[in-house]
Amino acid sequence: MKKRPAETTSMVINYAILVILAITTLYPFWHVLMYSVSDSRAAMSGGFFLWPRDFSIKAYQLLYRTRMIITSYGNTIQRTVLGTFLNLAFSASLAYPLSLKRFRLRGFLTMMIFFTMLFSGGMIPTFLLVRELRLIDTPWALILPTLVSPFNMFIMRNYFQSLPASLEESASLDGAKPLRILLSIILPLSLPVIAALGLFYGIFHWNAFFDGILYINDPQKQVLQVFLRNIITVTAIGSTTTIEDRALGAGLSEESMKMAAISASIVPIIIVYPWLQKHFVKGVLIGSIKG
Amino acid sequence: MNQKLSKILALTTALLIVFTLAACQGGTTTTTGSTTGATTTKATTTAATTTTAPTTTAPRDPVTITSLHSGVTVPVEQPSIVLKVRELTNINWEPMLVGSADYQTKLNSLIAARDLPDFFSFGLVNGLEYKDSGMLVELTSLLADYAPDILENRGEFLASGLNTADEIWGIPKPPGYHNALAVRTDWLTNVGLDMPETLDEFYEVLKAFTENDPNKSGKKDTLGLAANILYPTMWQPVFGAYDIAYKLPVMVDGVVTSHLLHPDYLKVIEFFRKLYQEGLMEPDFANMPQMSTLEKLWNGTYGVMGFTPVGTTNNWMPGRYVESPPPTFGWAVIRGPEGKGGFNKSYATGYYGLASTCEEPEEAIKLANFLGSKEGDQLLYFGIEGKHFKWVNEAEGKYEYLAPYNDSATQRADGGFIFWSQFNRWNDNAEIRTMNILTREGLQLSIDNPVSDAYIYQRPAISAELGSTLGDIENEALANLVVTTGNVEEEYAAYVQRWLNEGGEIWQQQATEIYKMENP
Amino acid sequence: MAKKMYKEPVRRRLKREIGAIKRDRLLYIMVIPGVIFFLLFRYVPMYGITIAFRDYNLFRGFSDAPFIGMKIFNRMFNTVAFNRAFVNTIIISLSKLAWGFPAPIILSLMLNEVGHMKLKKAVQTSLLLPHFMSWVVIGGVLYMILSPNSGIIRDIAELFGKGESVVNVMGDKRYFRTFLVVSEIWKGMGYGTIVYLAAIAGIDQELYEAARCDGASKPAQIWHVTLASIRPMIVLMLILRVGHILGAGFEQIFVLSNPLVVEVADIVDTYVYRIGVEQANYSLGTAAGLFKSVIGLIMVLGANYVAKKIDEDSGLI
Repeated sequence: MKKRPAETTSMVINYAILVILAITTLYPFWHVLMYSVSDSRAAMSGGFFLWPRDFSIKAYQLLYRTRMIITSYGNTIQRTVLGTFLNLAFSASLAYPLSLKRFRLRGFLTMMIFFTMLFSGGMIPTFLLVRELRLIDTPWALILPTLVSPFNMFIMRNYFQSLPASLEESASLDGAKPLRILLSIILPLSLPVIAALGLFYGIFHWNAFFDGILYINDPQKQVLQVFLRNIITVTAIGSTTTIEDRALGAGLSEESMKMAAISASIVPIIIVYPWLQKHFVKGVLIGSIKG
Repeated sequence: MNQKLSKILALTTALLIVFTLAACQGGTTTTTGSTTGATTTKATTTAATTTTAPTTTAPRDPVTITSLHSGVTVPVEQPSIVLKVRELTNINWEPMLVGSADYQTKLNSLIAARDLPDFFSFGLVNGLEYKDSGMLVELTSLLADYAPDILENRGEFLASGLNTADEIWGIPKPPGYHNALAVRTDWLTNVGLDMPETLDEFYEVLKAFTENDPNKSGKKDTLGLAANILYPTMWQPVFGAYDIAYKLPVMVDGVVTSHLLHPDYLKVIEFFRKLYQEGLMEPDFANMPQMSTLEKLWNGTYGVMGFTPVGTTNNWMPGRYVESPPPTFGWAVIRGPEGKGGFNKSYATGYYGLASTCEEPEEAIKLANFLGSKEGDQLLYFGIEGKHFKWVNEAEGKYEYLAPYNDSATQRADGGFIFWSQFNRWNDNAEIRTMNILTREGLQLSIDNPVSDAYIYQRPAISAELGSTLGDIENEALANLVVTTGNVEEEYAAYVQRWLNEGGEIWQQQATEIYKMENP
Repeated sequence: MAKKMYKEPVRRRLKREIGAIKRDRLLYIMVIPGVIFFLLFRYVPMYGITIAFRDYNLFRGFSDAPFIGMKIFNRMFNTVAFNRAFVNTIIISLSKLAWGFPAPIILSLMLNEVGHMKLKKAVQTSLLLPHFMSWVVIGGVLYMILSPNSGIIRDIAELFGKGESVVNVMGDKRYFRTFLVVSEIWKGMGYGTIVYLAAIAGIDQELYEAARCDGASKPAQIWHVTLASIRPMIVLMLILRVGHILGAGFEQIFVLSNPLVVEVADIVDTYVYRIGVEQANYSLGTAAGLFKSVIGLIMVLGANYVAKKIDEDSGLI
């Protein structure tokens, strides 16, 4: 196939821009990673970081010193897996009916759900509710209050709407039940959006810390990010003359431990994402199903 | 394709079942160590009795007292220091730890749920609100009966701010450590100058530190004055040379007002402008992260820094300093044209209080008293003698941590230091007793050279509406006036006008009234 | 051709509706769990919005929170600082919308053209990274690069002999807003491409075939097939985005703002935070949030209306 010269140049430019962008977005993370495996003092002399200075994994050793970090990893993985599955299931159970024109409650429910995107009772009433339902210190407190994200659900609904209507109609006319249609026809064709939303929900659970602070008191049940956040955050407010703030500045967590904490929370995402990314490859599925 | 899919599905389903079951087992009980605590207590009391049940006068079950602390460590499940406290007091103490950035959020959620920890910390502003809402227990009689150590330690300072002589609502936490001006004496030697005592000498020293290669590296890699808008201590010494108490209320023509409106304010700005334009102070002072400033001290960039000696020459020395041998510091008091100079006084602004929802206030105060006694204070700070540390020379305050607790993270994980800051003693606590001589000198120099201020304990009513507005305008003024290339007087006048218009005028009025009331 | 409007008698219409619902009853049952979630966890706590109109004290709770009407709103709107924050919010938010909304779309189109799988994966993963780092960390790295005195940019400028004239982007009122917009786009565009890539992945390949047969060039294919197919998704995202028009990026500005730029960078959220930081002022925070939400709702309904006018099937509601 002949390729026009204009096409090749534009392709080269395309690649070039993307690669340059990718390098700029890679650098901050690379910097953090290299810092985390450098000797703390050597690292402090400032400047660019291409390679570790005085390679040392002491920061990671310090980080994983107490068993608590391991337990919290487990808690986070539990909530992420269980939570994401439920997120997707509930989102789909709403998105599918809402994508059908013949669903009589369509407009009403859409508005009702959208309303909650903008208006919310706030942290305290939600907290009191969770407490009232006796969910404090259980994984359910981390999963139930955010079971469906309207944003994600609408994306799913839109994606379902973009599938050929004929598929759904003919299956329904043949007498198939909605659940079966959803599971055997719609979902297999929707792998890209499921991968995308799975990623969104999964990352939400992985990075969530605020609900951990509010709803979990027992350190054994706490999530990873709450521990890491304490190491990463340096209070910007207030002077350092009070004893507590002074303790923060005076070596409670080494700077490289901070970097290790950041790396520890990002690396799993880097591992999972490329695996999910293959679902974003164009048109593999529609073609095969149609044939 | 189908085989693979069903395998994945099966695996996922299995994982889900496992996780769901695990999730359903987590109950709502939060008692972490009460049972073990109780058994160790019982174990130490039973001596002779072997088989039969305890005798009639069995010790009552230890009461549970909780406290909320702010800190960033991850403690082990059963910190031995906490266990020791339980053992010594026969009270089941359960401290809870929250990251300091989230302390208020956590506390607020507990308040809303009426599930308060028994002890918690707060500032004056919140304290007044808590008192009015009935959240705090009035402590006078409880302290008289059960807390001799606290009474003796706080003495006359007990009745101030939140408290009056007859009503104690919160136990004041020690005021912050004083500020001091640290100057690198090794650099002074290298450039052939003495410790500066006047503004002019100070300027000369900063110039030499920036331009004359004081660290003998052959490169231009040093800077005279450390400055960061987020650290008031770095600006305060120059303000002190004009007897202006930076960031504290000051008296101007009989009115209590902000340091911004002091007649000599522009003179201070002039000095900083000179430093800024000649490159003798940190040029990125306005937008530099706090950690970067400290790093530049530690890696030997800065020659002079205003900061509490407890950091500069005590806690950070020598571990945080990169250079080998570590830098040597001395203390300076810079005097202005009228011979004035010095450092802000330090006022207690923090308290800890007892929640009105506490079911056993007597036991709670007993616990607080133990933790505020010399023994408890030492236990919380260092740990168990013989296990975490040992005295090398107790009279001089020399001590040594024992392995593996010589690693600070390990010591803190076992309960060292992290709970100390709420209950600790004034002046006579473990930390102060063990500071090195240089640090103590710096603190004393600061205490001996105070700057005049018009401090008021109560807050003007309008503060609640303004939040940090006035303080932000002050910061804006300082930062912009130092760097501006426009007309300094005009811009200054504009900032003063803004300060007055956006609530400052009312603030002044109310503050002056309060001052008259507090200082009849 | 005029269609005659046939008005069905009410009872027959009702019967038809009920029949339709009965036929699809499983559909209606399917939504019940999701609806229960929204009712329970979103609507039940909504009484909290009333804090904006009450004098609320955490300890005394809701039962003891006297109603004070619009007092909080009045106080809020009357301050000079709030008005400044409001203006900044509009300017910054619109800039971020104008530049930041198209960026992920264009980027996803570019990524879509990359055939080399390994490179594509690597680039996509890399572009995603800044999203996961908090602004606290990114801010530190940006300072390290952009400081005109000690940053990398200074070293680069000195190579060209222009060391002294580096502008302090992070500390200069004239450039700070641009800096905010650019840095936010850079941080979020990788993550933003995911939705569009998923939508692109669902495009029927035959459409491309047909376009090629018709002799369409690459750019034409992108315009008429790719973009056209993901248009509904773009419209949806735009509508959802305008709902947050008054939220101009709290965490970013909170971290990066400093006294030299606060005049142009302070937004409603940072203003509210600063007012309430000493005392947990929930009433004020709720009032500001309510204000933002109402404006957002108006924007969404407006955008939705416009979208529906252009294409009946698009839009949110």
